[in-house]
Amino acid sequence: MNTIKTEKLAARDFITIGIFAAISLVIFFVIGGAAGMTLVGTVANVPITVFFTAIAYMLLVSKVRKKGTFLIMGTISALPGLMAANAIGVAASIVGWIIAEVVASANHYRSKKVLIFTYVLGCTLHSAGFTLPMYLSNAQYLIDRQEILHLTDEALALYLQMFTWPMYFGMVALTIVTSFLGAFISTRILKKHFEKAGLL
Amino acid sequence: MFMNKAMTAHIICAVAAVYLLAAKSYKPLAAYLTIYIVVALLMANVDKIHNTSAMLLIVSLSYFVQKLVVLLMMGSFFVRMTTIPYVLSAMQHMKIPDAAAVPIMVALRFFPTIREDYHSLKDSLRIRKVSLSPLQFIIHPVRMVEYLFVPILMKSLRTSDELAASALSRGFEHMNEQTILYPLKLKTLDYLVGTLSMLIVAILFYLQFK
Repeated sequence: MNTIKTEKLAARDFITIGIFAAISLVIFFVIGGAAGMTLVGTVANVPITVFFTAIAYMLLVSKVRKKGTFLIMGTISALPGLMAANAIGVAASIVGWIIAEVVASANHYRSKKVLIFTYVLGCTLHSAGFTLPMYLSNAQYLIDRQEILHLTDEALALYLQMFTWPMYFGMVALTIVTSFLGAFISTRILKKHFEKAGLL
Repeated sequence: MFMNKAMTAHIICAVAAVYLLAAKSYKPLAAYLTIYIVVALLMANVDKIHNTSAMLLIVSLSYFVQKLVVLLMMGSFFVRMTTIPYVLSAMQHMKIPDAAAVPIMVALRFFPTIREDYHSLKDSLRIRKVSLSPLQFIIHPVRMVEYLFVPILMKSLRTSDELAASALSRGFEHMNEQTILYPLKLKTLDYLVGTLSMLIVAILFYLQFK
């Protein structure tokens, strides 16, 4: 289909972003939900999911190389946080994606390396912002909910042990590693399956 | 605030069930209600479990199910009761910018398609004796991305092109000059359902934060 290439997002780009946002959300719910069944998976939920969602992001930004793509995709991906009433986390995460968007836009979505860096930056800020409220009020958060969650004192102590500041920074650092690995491997997979087939 | 109280969660689920019943969406209703009731029963008896790990597993499961089942039920209702042109028309009336409205709308509509694609893919992978167990994701994450995500993404890429072509040929890009084929106007029933919904939300707020 012949279309005029512009820097601005057009209707067809919004459709493409919507489709890939749906895929990213499905990956987030399935992988994040499965990981959330374990204690380690609960704490490392964001680092685990960003590894798998990387392929949807990288394919999208390789196809739609226009300003705003990362921001819209990142915002839609952060929205499920509202289900857990984590409005502050969602807002912080959106700010993170705005910063990432500025980086990608400055490069006009041209360089693959910048796209990988942008994904890593966006995911890292998302991880830092999204989980911050939980760590800021970890003790109160869980003590308030001990009754609602039917947590025993032993289980509560185990949870409190997990939500500490070293753990927070550890998880943000882990997000850098997993998002980089995810984005790097995804670009290799995209090259193998999509670029060589002439789809990108 | 973050975790629904049991009664609040049950009422939200019951309201969602009524919506699905009204939409005659019996199969999803039965499936989601069964999941919800099983997990609610487990959660109600969680204090009888003395194993901390098992307890945390059930608590986590209950957290996800309480949030997700209602969302999925309302999603099913939404998909069954409306079509993209109507949603678009509603968003046009509400003056929501395209950058927000179109991706969210397409994403919502695309979930069932991903599910169908996944089932077809699962069958073809089974024929080739490729297992999709969670263990495989831990042992061979990259291989699983290639087996599972690449075919789905390949198909989605084609779908996005086809959908964009179809939408553009219908003048989708000229949103401001469009003639609205589906005029929307609030009727008595809408006001009634709206008032009832607000009342339910107020009761839920009271139950949650009293």
